[in-house]
Amino acid sequence: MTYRSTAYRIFTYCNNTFIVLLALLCLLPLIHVLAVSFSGRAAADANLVTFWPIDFTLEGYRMTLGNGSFVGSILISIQRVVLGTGVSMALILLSAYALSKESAQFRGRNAWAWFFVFTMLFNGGLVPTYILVRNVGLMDSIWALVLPNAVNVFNMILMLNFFRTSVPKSLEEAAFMDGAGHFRTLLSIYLPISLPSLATISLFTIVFHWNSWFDGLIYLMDKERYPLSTLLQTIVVQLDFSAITSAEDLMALSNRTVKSAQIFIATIPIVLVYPFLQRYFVKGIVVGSVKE
Amino acid sequence: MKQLGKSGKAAAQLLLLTALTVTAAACSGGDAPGASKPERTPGMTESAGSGNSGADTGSADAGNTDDGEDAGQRLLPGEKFDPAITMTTARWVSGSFAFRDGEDIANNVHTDWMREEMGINLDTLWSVQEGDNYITKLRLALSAGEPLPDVLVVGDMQLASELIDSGLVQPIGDVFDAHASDIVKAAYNRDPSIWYPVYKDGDYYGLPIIAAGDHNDNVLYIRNDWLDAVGLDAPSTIAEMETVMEAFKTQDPDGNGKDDTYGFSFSLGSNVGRGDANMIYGAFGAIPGIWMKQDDGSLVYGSTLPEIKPALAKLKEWKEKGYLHPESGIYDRQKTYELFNSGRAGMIAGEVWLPVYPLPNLAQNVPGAEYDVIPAPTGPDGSAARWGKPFNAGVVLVNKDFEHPEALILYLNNLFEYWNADNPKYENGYFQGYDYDIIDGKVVNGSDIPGGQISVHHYFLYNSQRPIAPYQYQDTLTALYEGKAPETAFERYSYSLGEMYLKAGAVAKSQRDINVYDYGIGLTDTMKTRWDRLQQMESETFVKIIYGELPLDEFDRFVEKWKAEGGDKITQEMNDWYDEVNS
Amino acid sequence: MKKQWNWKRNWPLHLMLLPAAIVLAVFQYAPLGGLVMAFQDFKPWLGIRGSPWVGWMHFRDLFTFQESVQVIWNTLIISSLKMVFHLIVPFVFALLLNEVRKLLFKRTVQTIVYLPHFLSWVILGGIFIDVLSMDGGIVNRALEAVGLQPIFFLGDGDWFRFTIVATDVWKDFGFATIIFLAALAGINPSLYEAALIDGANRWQQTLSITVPSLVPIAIVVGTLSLGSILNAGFDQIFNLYNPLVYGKGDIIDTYVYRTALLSGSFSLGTAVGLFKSVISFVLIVVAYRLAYVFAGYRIF
Repeated sequence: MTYRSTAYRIFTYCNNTFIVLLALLCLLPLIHVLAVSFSGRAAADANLVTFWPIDFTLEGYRMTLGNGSFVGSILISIQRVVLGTGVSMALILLSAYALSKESAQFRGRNAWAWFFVFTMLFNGGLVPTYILVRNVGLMDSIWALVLPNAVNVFNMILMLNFFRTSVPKSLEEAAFMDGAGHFRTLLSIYLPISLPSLATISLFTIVFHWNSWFDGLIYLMDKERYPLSTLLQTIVVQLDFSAITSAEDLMALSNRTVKSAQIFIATIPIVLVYPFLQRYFVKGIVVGSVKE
Repeated sequence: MKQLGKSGKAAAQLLLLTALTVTAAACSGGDAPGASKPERTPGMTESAGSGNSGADTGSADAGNTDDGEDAGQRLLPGEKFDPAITMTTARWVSGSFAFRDGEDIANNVHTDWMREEMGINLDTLWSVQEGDNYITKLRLALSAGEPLPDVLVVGDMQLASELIDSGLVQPIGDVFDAHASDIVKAAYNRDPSIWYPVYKDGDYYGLPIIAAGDHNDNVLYIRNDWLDAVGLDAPSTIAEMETVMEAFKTQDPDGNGKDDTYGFSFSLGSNVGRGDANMIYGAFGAIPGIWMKQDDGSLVYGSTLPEIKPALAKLKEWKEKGYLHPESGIYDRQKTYELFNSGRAGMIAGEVWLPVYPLPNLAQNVPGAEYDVIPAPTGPDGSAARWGKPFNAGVVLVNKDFEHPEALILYLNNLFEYWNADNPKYENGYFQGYDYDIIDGKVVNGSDIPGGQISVHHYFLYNSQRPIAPYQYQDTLTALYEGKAPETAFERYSYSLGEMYLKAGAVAKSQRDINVYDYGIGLTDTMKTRWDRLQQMESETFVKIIYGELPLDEFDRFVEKWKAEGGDKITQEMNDWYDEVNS
Repeated sequence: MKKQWNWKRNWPLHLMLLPAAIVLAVFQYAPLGGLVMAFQDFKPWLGIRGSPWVGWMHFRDLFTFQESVQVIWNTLIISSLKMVFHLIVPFVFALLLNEVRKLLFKRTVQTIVYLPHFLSWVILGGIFIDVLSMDGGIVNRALEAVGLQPIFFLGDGDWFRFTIVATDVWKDFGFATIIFLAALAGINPSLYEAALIDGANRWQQTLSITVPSLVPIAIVVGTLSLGSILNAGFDQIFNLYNPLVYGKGDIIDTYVYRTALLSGSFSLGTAVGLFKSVISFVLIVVAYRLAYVFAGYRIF
């Protein structure tokens, strides 16, 4: 078997080493942030911490988790992610399916496609969008965070390409012969086969909603309604030294320990979700029902 | 005019106050009004009605009006609106704000105080994070046609001037004159130029917020344990400073056998002149980045003066010799603190309050480290100069449709009442249980307060600053350093922050005469399109000269280009504006 | 055998597209009217209806600023480099990772390489300044250890561009890797079995099966990223740049940010956005046509 050849084994060895190094490179900054989050104030602020805490303390986490708004905002973020991803995925699935059909068979398909793509490129900008959201009555509501970006055309195009390449035409024709309509085909055939792409797009959408902070800032009226990412913005902000006129302000603002704890806590949920979704990146879905 | 009600209690308080003040001694305000100023500076004119403590203005007690209908009602602390009025506003919140459980920026001890004490319901329409986001949100709200809140604190002068130009705000000069208390007027008179930015067409369109500029004046901090290690005295001239830095760099003062020490921790960042090196430039005669007033009274932009050139040469020399960290050009203030606090630099220039934070961390990180505070060094011609930090921290704007602008002044009077030595209400602080507490009959501050200390001035509609008169910080700190026993809440609080802090204040005050102030507070038309590029040109040129990427003579070319590409025009406009405001 | 479908078969498809189309119509198309701001001297209190018309003024300004050409050029260079490496690195890495047999190892690595994506540039900026520091920074220390001169990564124009591209790729290569891995997971395993029977070794299998399967997706990702070619990464550059590298590191967005800051101009920002959109649109149309003509592939 080719997998046992010496050449391949050398390759595997080098490959694995290289991958481990690269992974380490990606991990180190996070380890640094983790170390700072457990370090004493003086050392953290003077940037003396590298990968191991100095003056170990749980102060950062205590202050973060003890902060009522912080915990509350995590719940709001979760709510946003669930709603946002649910709505987005539904819309994207439907659109990608329809647009994956050939234009020879689906009249008007190209027009629809350009309708979608155009929005990816041209945008009215912050002010008109804000005015619109206001006029539609979505101010101060979680829907202002969910709806405006519900149709991410980039993701939809990815999904549509996955559909085209993973689902054999013959399978679809067979289903049609059996009397299945489009909705049925989408649910029973396309969905199971495209699990990897579904998982991928879901992941991107979840990450987007989790990290998106600016819309929360402009559409929500007060701090109590903020999702986590927006709340973090009010804390992890670039220090504008010209505005600081007292030691107290500087002291409260530049608390690296607390900031690092907050960053770390904000990253954990995603880190947990990801491996869960990974299960669906399974290789080789059996597509044996049709002869190629 | 709104009818001010009087409960028997209010009237009694008023009478009591009047009685007290008529017999009381001097007020706690500052200097008597002097100096040249615009004719119409609010607060300079005699005000009708009684003062609460009035030695300086010397106004005769025209009899107290405790009757509602009189248009000359003073609205001093103790008076309130009855029925209560509502005042809307929008707030910015910073990560540094702390709240007790159940309180937030819209509902807290401060808003309660306003309601109970003054009869003003403060309604917070929305709140957002400070800085750019606040400005963006405000602009968005306006764009969408939302009305301006009744009262609005704006820290960014660009936005403020925009709003003033828009015609959406009302002038408050008259209201201030009529209602401001003597303490307030005294504070605002100490530096009349704080009114300049809100001046327009003969009137004043906002309430300037006094910043503790003197609290930010720079002094020099130096590792005196290093001085001992290399056997030198603290430097007082640039030349001596060089000797010291050379020793710091080469003689391994921290004794760790490594060549890792620097003479001076310093950031160029993106704001060249206004950084912490302003005293270095100043030693040579000019402060970059600000509009200096010349002997003939005209304004000139500091960065274009010939005196800058030798300063640049000096900095370049220091960089070459390794006294400065190689990355000074990309450092921001935070990084300069890090360098000093990790024990790698021998000197750092900074504000008076550095000994409160972050310098205490030095001793924690480097056991045995000690620092001292010394005045800014003098240059080759024996003189020193530093940037006199501004006393202006923004402005409170009043919507032109708001019917009770005087409510803002009432609020202001109450804020400044803290400084009234004769009013025991605020003698320990503002709110018990927040910025001070009384345990077993003793007054406590700081971490001794159950639940921790809350900096209540963050809640104030005063750009979240402590209401204070110009120069108050330095004066207080110096007095305390020289042995005065702390009496007022402010003095006690300052005293508790440590001797180094007091010393820094004293050192700063000792050099107050070398302060060079920035007179160019306005924003001219040409600035709107050209200023940023001129600034960028300046930053690039200066940093590259210091790094040796450009020859020193590039400075002369820079000055020419600067003038040609709008600098001259801006200078002209700036001077025109200054003449108008100052007339 | 492809015959034209009739309306009876197609109407569900139109129905499927309707919800998304409505959302887009409301939230993307409606605000497009606001693009007129690019032609006005917009003042917030006057609103869109009330602000004065200035025609092409902002566009003219944009192009006549002395630095404009340099800034646009910087943007293109940095963006193109990023695009290229954002394709190559994840592509190669996905292939390499695909060869890993141990599933747990593979999955762990997959998670780890996506992590840098979550750190904002505000934090990473500070970290990189230290890591790349000339005085004690890890990278330079390593260089010195092998006898090379330390490099002023963040202060030298050309090195700055390199650093920007390298750090950005490091931060986000996990993103495209995931996409490619998902595509790899969709390849029919029987193709590999067949190749094996034909005697192909792993390398040949990779070349003839794996790579061609990934090419379509790579084209898609590449083309779509053309849409942001004039973006170049404001957040990142804003947190890493300084006066020493304005010349080569300033991009359109950072430049406009500083310029518009003083005038508070939404108008200028809109004008720049419009300009970028038009360019992106043209590029994508061109790429779409090219892909179709040369590779017979419809991107969307």
